[in-house]
Amino acid sequence: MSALSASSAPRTSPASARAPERRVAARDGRRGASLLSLAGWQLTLIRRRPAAKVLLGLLLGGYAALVGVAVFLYVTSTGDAADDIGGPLLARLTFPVSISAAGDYTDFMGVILLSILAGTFIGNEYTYGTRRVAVMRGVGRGWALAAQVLALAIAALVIAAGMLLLGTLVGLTLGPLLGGHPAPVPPLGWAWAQLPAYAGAVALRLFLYSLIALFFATLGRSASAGTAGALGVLIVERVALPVFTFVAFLTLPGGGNGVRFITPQVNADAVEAAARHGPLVLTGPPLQFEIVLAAPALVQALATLLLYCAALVGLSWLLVARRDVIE
Amino acid sequence: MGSASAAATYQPQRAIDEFLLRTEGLTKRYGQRTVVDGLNLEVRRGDVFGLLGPNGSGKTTTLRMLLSLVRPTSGRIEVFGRSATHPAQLREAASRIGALVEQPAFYPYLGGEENLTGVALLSGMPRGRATRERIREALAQVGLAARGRDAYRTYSLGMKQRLGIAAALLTDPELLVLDEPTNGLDPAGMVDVRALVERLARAGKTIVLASHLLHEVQHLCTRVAILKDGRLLAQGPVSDLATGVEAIEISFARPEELPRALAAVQTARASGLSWLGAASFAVPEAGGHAPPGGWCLLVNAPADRAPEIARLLAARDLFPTAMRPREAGLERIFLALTGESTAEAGTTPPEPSQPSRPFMITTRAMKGDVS
Repeated sequence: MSALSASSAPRTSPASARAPERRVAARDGRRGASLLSLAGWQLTLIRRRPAAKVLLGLLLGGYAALVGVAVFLYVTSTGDAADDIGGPLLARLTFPVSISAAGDYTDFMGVILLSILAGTFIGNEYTYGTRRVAVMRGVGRGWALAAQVLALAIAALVIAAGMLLLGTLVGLTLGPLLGGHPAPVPPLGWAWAQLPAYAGAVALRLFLYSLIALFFATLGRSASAGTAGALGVLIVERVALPVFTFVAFLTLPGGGNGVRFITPQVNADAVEAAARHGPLVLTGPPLQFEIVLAAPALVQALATLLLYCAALVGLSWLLVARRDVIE
Repeated sequence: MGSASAAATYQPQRAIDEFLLRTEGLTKRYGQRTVVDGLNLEVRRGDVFGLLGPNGSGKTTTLRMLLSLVRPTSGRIEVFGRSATHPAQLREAASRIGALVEQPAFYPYLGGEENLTGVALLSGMPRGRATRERIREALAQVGLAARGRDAYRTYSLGMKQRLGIAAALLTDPELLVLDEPTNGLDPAGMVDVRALVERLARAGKTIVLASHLLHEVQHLCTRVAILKDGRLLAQGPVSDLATGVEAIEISFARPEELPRALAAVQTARASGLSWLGAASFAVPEAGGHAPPGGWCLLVNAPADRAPEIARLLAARDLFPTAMRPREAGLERIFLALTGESTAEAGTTPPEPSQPSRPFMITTRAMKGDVS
């Protein structure tokens, strides 16, 4: 009994006396809290999730394993294999192609892991009931969604930048150690814009899939809906798109190149376009089993990507704004 | 009743008539189903306002509408004298309202203190020492100071409920909305929370308390609203509501006199005695005279009509051994208004040969008699 009474009995009256000060402290702002501080809180929540640590470990561990395998294959390749496999591998371990190698890895593994993270993060707001706390505290529904979107964008940017930085480090240390020759970056010119553009394209791809997870988590009001939705889209497009593209290639004029723009897979094209269109050659010589498709114009790819993002945010906002908070 | 009138002393003298919260024709429909139907509530500054109703009566939906979680289908909400029917309108007042609706909602992987930091941020409180101190103070207020750094998932049900109350108190709100605040608490925890609510009320907070625990509401609340099927059945001070359900317990020396007495009262009522309410057999209240057979006659009528009832019975050669007014507790008011069944009253004649089994009779005898 006394837990409450002992501690609070003498406090009630003084607390009440100081009430006006506190009410001033709780800003009378229309939004309750600024968008940036809300997004910062969302990032704290993402960072503190036990799942975030596991997924980050998987992302970094996977990259380390991939680099390890590449080094092993390069070192052990002899004869013709040294030319066919060793050369392209060394290029991918050397700056600047090492950047796109890290980008490709992030484009695949990062998308999967961030989809899981975003799906559980957004979905658990419904499972824990914490979404109603924000609404009760005066945070507008749209404002709360904007904070989540901003947090996901920052998370995608940080992951993309971090992974590409790792690729740069590998390219400037491991590549030369194995005999590679890093290409010099011209001190002036578009090269310095191409690298951020490439990082941005990778980040946008991650962001898009986290938005797909956000949409499905909002639709289904659960973590499983968010994760399954994003991964479902990913699987369907990875399986269905090649078939779809192949059929379009055979049946439509112009090789059906435009058909490829109907799924979010186009973002991979944006990454590809950013890698190819610029003074730096970020793409290395193709490996033997690699099929290289023509990359679309960067602007075209980015515009399609942004359209997808806007549509997903818009649909999520419609759901959030119209529905009652009953969980 | 005693405790309810004691609770009435909480009411501060200042601005007693100022409405802090008001609804007009508040309605919520889900498809064809009406969950809340034309609700007119009035909560004055300083009230400890009880929202009572059986499960599914619309209490929580009402609270959700008041907190802008659920949009009303129609009707109007006014908070702090300003319209708050649309969520955007309530946002301005949000920092002046603290709420605990249903289960507390927190992140299980964060500590209590961190969770409250998030609530503070959502409330627009700035980061810094003052906020940290306020968080510790709120934790201390609910007895969680020592466990503030522990992860929420390690908390017991009662501790989670307390953290929910701490979150509601964080901005030192003028209006506190508590939905079943003692849910999940052990008896000691319940006493603690009730004591806290009493202290907050004494400090001038206005509190809206939804509960199905009648004794809790009777003990804490100055005014109550009783809901059933989304409709408001009654609203006002507990003492005012009680006037319609005054009753007199009448005991007889022989159990076989009870059916005759019941018939006499029912005949008199049918003949047009407007002050005479329904009559039923009942178990005497604890502490009352225990008649032979364990039953008494319970007549809904003002206590000052007891001599007239005695005369009415005497005319039929029925002479009670005892007559005493029965206290119109909130439970009786609630049962009378909602028509919920009770295991203590009935019109089926007691079985004189089985006086030891009085609790077997269950009816809806009081339905509609006093509304």
